[in-house]
Amino acid sequence: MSTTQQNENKWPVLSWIASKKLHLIIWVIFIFYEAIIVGLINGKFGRLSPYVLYYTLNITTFYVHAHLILAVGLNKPRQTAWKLPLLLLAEIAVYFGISICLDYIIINYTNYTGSRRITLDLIYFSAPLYRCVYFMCFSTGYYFLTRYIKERKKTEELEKQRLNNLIQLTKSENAFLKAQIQPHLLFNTLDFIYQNARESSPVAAETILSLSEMMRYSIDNNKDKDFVLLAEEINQVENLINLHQLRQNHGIGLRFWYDDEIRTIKIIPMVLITLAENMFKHGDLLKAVNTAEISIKSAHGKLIIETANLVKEAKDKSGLHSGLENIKKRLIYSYGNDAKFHYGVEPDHYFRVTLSITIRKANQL
Amino acid sequence: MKLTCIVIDDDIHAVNGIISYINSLTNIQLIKSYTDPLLALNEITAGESVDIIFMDVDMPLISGLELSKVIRHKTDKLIFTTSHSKYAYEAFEMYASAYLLKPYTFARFAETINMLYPKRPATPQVSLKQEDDYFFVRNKNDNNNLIKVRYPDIVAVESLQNYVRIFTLNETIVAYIALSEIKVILLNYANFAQAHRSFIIAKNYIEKVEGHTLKMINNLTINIGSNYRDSIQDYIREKTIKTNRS
Repeated sequence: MSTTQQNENKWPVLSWIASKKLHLIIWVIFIFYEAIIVGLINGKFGRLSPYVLYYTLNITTFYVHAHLILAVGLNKPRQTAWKLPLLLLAEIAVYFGISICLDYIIINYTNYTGSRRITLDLIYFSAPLYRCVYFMCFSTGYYFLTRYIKERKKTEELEKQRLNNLIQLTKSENAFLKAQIQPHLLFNTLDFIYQNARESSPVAAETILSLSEMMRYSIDNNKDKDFVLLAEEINQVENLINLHQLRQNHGIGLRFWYDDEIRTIKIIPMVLITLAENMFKHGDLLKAVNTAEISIKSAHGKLIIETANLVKEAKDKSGLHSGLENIKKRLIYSYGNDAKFHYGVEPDHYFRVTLSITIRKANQL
Repeated sequence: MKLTCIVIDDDIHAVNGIISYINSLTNIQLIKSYTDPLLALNEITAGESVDIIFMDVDMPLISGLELSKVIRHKTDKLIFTTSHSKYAYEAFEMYASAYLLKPYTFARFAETINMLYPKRPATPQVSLKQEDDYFFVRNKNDNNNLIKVRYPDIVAVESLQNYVRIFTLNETIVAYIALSEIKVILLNYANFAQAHRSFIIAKNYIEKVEGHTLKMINNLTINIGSNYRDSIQDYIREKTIKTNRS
């Protein structure tokens, strides 16, 4: 790396040429093309010196036109009307001037054998005029092309900046929100309320306890895990039941049956909790006579989860089925044929859900 | 011999809370409590060793880790009380005997102590004389008025987290007591048995046995939990008359 840098410093010309290599290549191709075409048309090739001189003039015109004339002329749109024609005329005039000089040099100081003479009439000027306009047109095209590319780059850059900004904004919003509900503050406050409520209102204290356990579960737990212990979901379901019981003055007729051994079985998350939540959302659980049930058992190598409850008379059952369909899809994805999932209203008016999962080693990851 | 303990927490409410838990257990007594961690540091290092220190990790002015390091040798067990998840304090694992996540129930507190001292289990202060065949309890369903419950009338007791539902022959009572606490009293009477993690039943009120399900006199249907099957079935078998012919 350092040697190339040294080289660049020693030969800044070389490095400049390297950066403009696209231009050079195109010019070389263009010159070849023109030289060959003209040679074929005229039947013979001209000498080197006219080529060098005139191409130098033309190429210079090309770049001067693009970078100087047009840049200045189109700079301020209001002044374009008078500036641009003026500049163009000046350019053509200068071109003519230089062209005459070059002709003079070629005719008198080189071995020129052609028929061209400096006659300074219309016929004489038609050739340089043609060449000048020819290159000016190319140059104009080149000018607009480069401008377009520059604009495009600018827009892309702006877009990128805008997106970056958006990301930063979202990040800081996120951090702000997190700071607002940081667990430390949350649980300290809940504990404070709990301590205060214990004496005067045990019901409130108990409610806070269940609530904070549920919050701790959702804050601590990474639900991105593929499998969770049934024990964890059972705890949350019991917290949920407790919350509702406390709010309904322990009037909810719901029994949760399970034996402690099934706690160690693993299952995909948010299935048991969703079924329990559904029961509270859509079920009619206050008729003490008709108790609702959730039962979990393990039999014949299968984990069986069943729920049963009466249904509320309500029009809006939209949430229910989308939740259950979601469970079905996730079960198929994780267990394939090992899981069987049915739900529906039975003749005894109970809405029942039956889930059976064949327990395999593979399921217990 | 009671276990001796010290409490350090900058939040006075938390201190009072834990003190009330301590007072509810028979096997543990409070030596001193501190809201100033620096004072605690000085006095503990200068004083006698204790069995348990309950310490809040998030205290101002001093790093919980530093404090733990210094006082660890002055206590048999060090229990951290924290509002944040215990996973946030992995560095403390080398000092901690247990964690209590705020807010925590009395049951969780007692459970933790029992786990650390299994040979000296904590029993809740049960100041109930066992001679009478009844007790009074506050009924949540009846404005928390005290109601008399006679043991022979109890059909079943169902757990509702920190409440219980007492089914008697005449009524249903919801009381603010945990099943684990009332169990201590009930299981002194031979008639009561635990049928399920959430149910204690009076054996004489079993009307029907359908497989692993009990039907009680008040139509209550109870599944027998797998841990409790043997003792229930023994009882049923004892009471079953059958022919000697088969």
